[in-house]
Amino acid sequence: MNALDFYALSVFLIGLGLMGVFLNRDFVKILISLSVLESGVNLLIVSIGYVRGRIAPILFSKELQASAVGKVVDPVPQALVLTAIVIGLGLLAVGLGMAVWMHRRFGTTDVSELKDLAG
Amino acid sequence: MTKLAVYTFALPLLAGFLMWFVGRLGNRPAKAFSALTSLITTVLAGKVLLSLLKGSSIVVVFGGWRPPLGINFFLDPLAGLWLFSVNVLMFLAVIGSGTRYSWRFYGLLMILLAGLNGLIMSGDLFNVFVFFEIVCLVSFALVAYYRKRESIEAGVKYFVLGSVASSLFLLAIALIYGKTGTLNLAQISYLSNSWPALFKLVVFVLILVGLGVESGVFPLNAWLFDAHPAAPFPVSALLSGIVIESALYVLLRLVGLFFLDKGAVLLVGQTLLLLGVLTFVVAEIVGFYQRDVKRALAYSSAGQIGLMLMAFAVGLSRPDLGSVALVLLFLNHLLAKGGLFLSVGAVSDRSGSRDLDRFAEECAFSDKVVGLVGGLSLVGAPPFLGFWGKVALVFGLLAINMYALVGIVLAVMVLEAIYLMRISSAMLTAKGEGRQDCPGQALSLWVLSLLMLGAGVLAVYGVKKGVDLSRLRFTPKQEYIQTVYDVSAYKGGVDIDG
Amino acid sequence: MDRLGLLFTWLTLGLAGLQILFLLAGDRYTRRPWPILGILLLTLVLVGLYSTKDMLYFFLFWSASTWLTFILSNNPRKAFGYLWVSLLGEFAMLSAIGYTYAVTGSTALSSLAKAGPTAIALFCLPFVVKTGVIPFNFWIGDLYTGSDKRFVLFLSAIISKLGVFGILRTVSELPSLPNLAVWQNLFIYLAGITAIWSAFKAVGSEDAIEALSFSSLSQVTFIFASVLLWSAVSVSGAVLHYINHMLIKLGMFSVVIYIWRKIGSTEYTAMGDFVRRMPVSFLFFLMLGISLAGVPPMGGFNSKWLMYEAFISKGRLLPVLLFFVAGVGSFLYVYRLLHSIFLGRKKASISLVKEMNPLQIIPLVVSGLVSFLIGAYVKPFMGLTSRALTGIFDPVTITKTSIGLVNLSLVLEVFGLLLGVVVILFWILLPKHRYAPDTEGYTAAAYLPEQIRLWDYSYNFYAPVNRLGKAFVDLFSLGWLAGFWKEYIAGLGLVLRGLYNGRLATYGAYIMLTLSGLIVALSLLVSKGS
Repeated sequence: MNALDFYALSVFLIGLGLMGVFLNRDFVKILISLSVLESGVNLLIVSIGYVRGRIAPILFSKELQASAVGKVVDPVPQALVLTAIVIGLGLLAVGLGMAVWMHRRFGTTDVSELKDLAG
Repeated sequence: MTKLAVYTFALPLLAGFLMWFVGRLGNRPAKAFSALTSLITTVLAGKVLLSLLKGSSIVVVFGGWRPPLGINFFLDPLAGLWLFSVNVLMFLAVIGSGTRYSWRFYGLLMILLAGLNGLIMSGDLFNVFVFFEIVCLVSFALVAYYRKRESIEAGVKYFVLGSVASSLFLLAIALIYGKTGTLNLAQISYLSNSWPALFKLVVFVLILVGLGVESGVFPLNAWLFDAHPAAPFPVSALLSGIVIESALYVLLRLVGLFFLDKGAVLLVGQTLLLLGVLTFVVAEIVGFYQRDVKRALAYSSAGQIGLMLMAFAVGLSRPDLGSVALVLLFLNHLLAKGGLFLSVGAVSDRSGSRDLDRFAEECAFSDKVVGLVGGLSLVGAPPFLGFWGKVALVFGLLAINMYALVGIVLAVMVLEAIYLMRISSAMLTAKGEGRQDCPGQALSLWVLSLLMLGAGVLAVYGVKKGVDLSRLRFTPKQEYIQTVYDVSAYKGGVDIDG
Repeated sequence: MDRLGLLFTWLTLGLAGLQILFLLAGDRYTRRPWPILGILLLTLVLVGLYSTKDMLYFFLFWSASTWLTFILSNNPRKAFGYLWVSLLGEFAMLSAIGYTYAVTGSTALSSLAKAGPTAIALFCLPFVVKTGVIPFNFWIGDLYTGSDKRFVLFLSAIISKLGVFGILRTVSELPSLPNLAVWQNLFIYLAGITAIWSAFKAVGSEDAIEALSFSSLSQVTFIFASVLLWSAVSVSGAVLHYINHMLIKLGMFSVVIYIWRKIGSTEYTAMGDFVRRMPVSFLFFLMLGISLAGVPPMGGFNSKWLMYEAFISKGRLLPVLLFFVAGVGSFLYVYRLLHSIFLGRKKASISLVKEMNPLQIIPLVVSGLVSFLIGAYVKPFMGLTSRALTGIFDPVTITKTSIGLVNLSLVLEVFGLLLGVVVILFWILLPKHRYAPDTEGYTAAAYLPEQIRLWDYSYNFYAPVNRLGKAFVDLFSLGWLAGFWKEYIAGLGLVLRGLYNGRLATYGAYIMLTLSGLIVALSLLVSKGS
């Protein structure tokens, strides 16, 4: 697979995620779609940093440390994605908490039931 | 001085985590602790602002790694002012929050403060994203704080819309990195001159939508109007007063750095102007028909954001009027809306109702004062800041020959004045003699009123003396790049040590 | 400060002082620090307004006075109409200032001339609005009747005439007269119609304060039209009538407010036969009423005479007719005021009133005496107005009528003397009336006190006149217009509210729509441009 395949895959995931978020009625499904969306974006970022033939940017040996520049893929997107994954984790945690409370208050996780506040 | 700027971000973060321990002692110590923290950061931000006003922009370099290889913070006078105002309002909101909230609430507020402070100072897309996420995440939790039916509803809607927006923003960052290979704002700005039009367009729209949801731009601002009534009143004050403004700040900063080359300026300006007008007009007209007081104030907030967008667009061709209008509108909205939410929110909590006719059953004197001064200031009555901001905006619109827009804007301003004065007068004519839950509330309301009055008087003085506010603008691209370049690794060779 | 500003400053200060004296000399309610402090604050703001020749400062003070008036009237619900229509006017003024600044780079009033007649007209719009000329007349009734009674005096005496000052100041600052003949004429005629409309409203009113309010509007529109005419005689007459009207309303409102404090109502049906308890007040009220009707020997005659003269000498006979009809109306409502308050059938409330205390009656006495002086010895007052208008107009003196060389002052003094003689003769020669005792006993057709409107002669006093003018009054009250406006804006509001329908799916769709829409629109624009 080359980079273009990954890009296409990530665009697909992003589209899937967006569709899922906006077309689903169940909040848990929305959360899952949100995760898919975020995974898609993360995949895009990682694949942007990919350089063919190189290895992951983990400097586990001294000689690697000295000559890393020509041997590893771009580490910046990897760092960005790590952070983004953690942020996604946080979002998911908050979202699940809201899902629990939503079920307690509304008796359902169907977001179309959220129609008290309007106008 | 650079260290001080960093502490405005570091201290509240630390305080937020320490709150777990302080909270063991009780809610009131937690509140005092967070008040102390925000007071310290306010003082620090004030010192930073003073040095910025006297000198030039500050670039804070981290870990010895010079930009663009390393991460930096960038502070120009506008950022300093924004930073200071954010901390002031947070302090006042903490003090004015009453006795109802637990240590968890104050912990969240501290983390929010850390996120906001960092957001304003960031010089790097990575940092912008991270701090933006911190702010969003904490806001989601704070909106749904009460866990009542309406809070959950507002929280869920905000969550979904906000998360999608964040992902869209991250997508824009991914695209930018793919094109430029860097995340440093100055370097991206430098490289953005050679972006192809289609790419620039897509990234612009992604950033606009991604940050616009959090800012409250039409038609992405629907969550605002549910979140404000449902959230605890200090949260509403902060949301309206600093969170959406800071999101707008980031949006405008990025737009200013990435998309304002010769070819695109006109298009960008027109888009922002149109969005601003739509935001303002729709929000104010719908706000006119609200019976829920906090919801009405939320619509007013969205309207003011629309005005600020318009001010920025005007400032693209007339910086002397547009930037001044932006700063004045921002300060006015922060003080007035912060004050109004702190008083109206507390009053409606006390009376148990948010309906226009019934919310003001027990108004303390400080509530009435803020109701009057805040209402007048927000509406644009002279000599308050709102008046000068709106005057500058109207003059700016006239200067760019947008006569029809001026007419529409003025007519809608009248509508806004009517429903805001309705709220103010409901408070002024309240029959009951309420008392604040704790003296801190009265204190914060009085401070806000005096700040608004003082700002008004200062403004008149400033206008008479011809005070130059031109330094309080988003640093133009060239200057920004130059300032960061001067401390960068490129100047004087690639020097990574020290 | 220049002479014009000084005159208005002294007048406003004098009136504020007298009103505050009246309030302080009253009872505990009128002595409260607010609104007395508010009136002082407003006076200060007005002094600022009178002294400035810079458009921006003028706007500042004008705005501040609008807001202060709104606050002092203490009845936001009823004062709303006033507020938003004033704001509308203020924004017109602001546009004019902005445009002038953009074109000339200066904010001095005189630079309006270079900005063109449209800018001048826009700048003067709030003056028309504040005066209450049709179509800006709908808020007057609500504001005055709803206003805090301690403030309504100041409202009627000074605030109502701020528009007059505005026009005076603006046009006097321009280097040459602008070419705004169309607007001038339009508003002169509209002022005339407004004067008749408000006279009818005052005639048909059942409430003393409402009558006095519409009476103010009637007089002020006449003053306004005279200023718009812009001749030496008309403006002198206008300024003199300003002074007269101020004094008249000071005196009349003090009486009515005092009565309100005593009996708790300002409706005509609650008052009657007060002359027995308040003879001194009656005397001065009568003097002021004669002045208001424009009858010699009181001051109102002189100023109205001047204004009529001005219109006639400029050949504007239709406005003369309009204002004359309004003047006839003023006779009617003045008599109604006199009769319903002081004469007529005694009501239960009479036991609650007595004469005003010496301090409280000072404003009334002062206004009565000064009104008489303006009537009998008008020269110093003409000198006052001429001095105020130096540099704008040549001095005007009332010595010659337009038909011949007659010394008018002499005529007036003789007339006044004759009138006094006639009054005394009537008093002495005509048989005295006797008071018919009230029957306390049972009557077959009982007079139910709560159905006072059925048997009180004072109610619906001018029924034929009301019937005559009903269609005319309703037309210009613009209530039907407000109905249209409400429906239209409410419709728009309903549509826009529907945008925020509370559904997450809709809000999500907005995000996607904005995303795709902006991309499509912008790419189209970009490709069209390149």
